[in-house]
Amino acid sequence: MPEPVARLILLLAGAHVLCGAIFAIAFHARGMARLDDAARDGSAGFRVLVTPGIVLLWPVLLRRWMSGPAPVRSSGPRTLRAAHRVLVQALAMLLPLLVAAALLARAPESPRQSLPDVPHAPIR
Amino acid sequence: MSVRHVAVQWTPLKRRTDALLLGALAAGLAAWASISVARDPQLTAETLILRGTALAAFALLHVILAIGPLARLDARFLPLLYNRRHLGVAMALLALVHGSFATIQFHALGDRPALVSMLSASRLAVGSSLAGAPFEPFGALALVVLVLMAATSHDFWLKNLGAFTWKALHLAVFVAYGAIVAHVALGALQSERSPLLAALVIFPMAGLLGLHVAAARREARVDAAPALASERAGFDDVGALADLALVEGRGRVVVVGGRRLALYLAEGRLHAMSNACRHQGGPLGEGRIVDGCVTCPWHGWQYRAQDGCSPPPFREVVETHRVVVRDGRVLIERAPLPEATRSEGAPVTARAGEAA
Repeated sequence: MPEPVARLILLLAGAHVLCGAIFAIAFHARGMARLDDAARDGSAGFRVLVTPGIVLLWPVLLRRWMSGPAPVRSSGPRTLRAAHRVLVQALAMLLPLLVAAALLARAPESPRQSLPDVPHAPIR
Repeated sequence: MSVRHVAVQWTPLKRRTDALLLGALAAGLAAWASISVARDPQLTAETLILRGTALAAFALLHVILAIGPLARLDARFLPLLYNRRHLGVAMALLALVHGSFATIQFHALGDRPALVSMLSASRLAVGSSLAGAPFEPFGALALVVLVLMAATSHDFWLKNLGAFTWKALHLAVFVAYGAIVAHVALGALQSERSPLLAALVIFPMAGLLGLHVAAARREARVDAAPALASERAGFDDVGALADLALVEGRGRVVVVGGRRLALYLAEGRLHAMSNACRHQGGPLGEGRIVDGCVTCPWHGWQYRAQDGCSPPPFREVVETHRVVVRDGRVLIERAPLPEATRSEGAPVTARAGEAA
């Protein structure tokens, strides 16, 4: 991709992570216990383990912190099964084409070069 | 189900599985490194690390992705589901080592920041072969997805994102898989001429996609099964008692109103509840009753058949539905009962096929 696009993506990602790090401090201090009783007395290892996810998913957790627990979707499993079916069928069509194209479009193997056997003059 | 979150709820089975995983990885990498160095003594340690972590992560990803459809197609593979998340985290860590090492090895100490160089690298000229195609961004995309999945593998996320959102997030593994195949096809397959490498990509990919397509079609057939109309308004007829062949303490999956429910015979009475466990959506109808509770076959979460509630101190609840037996046929109400409503169920005898 063009370099300016790469720089923009990395800038946005960096900003997201920075916001997530700041949010994680507040979430550990106040939000986690409010959202989840089982986390109130969570072990230190648990808190370390979930911190990367807090940094990455801070917008979702902020919304949950403000609005409460996630609703149960009764149609959820069927929707997910349909999504799985669409995804695997798409991969089953696209990936073989991609691999075949990649193998067919390989550059011809160039003959390996070897250095001629030339005696070196002594260094004075 | 946990009253207090801890880092890992260790069990003897998890310890054995993790020990087996680490042992297999170490042995496999050592064997592969030995063979590679024997064939090409000039291989550097950096190359060994890059290729070794790539091979290990690629192989482990195929094992992980095969577990789901195998467990759906044959219940004997169910025990493999119990510790799949540890496999996923290990695979993500291997991929992270590979990605970090490659970025430092090939893109650091240049005139641009390493990550900028990695994302914008392209030597592709118009009309040339695919050698030089930008394969690195595909690897970066896959790594982001895998790390996100590893970071959200703890039960805390299942509980607080909700089962639907969590599962939807983890469906992104298929996006990661496609990106990894593209990364390998446009990368290693362009420079490595060994037919073994091509075979190591093609055959596992074909096998894995075949498994998933077979499992998806099987599930689609169940979802598409037409519901039998019932004379009683608001109820679906799921079949004759004799045909359902219900066994005391065992469940059966039925489709009501287009949704799967778990039908259980508990203490001579029929109860129906949502088939989706609140943990990871496991099929409650394929479980059994343990200690008086319907028990999910995936990770052992439990719910009382009478009201769908988890036994105290746990507070998860699944929907329950009214069940009626009329003229030897089982009718289940399409609309769920209000949450945690206690129902005595429809009386039948313990011998399948007879109404009380």
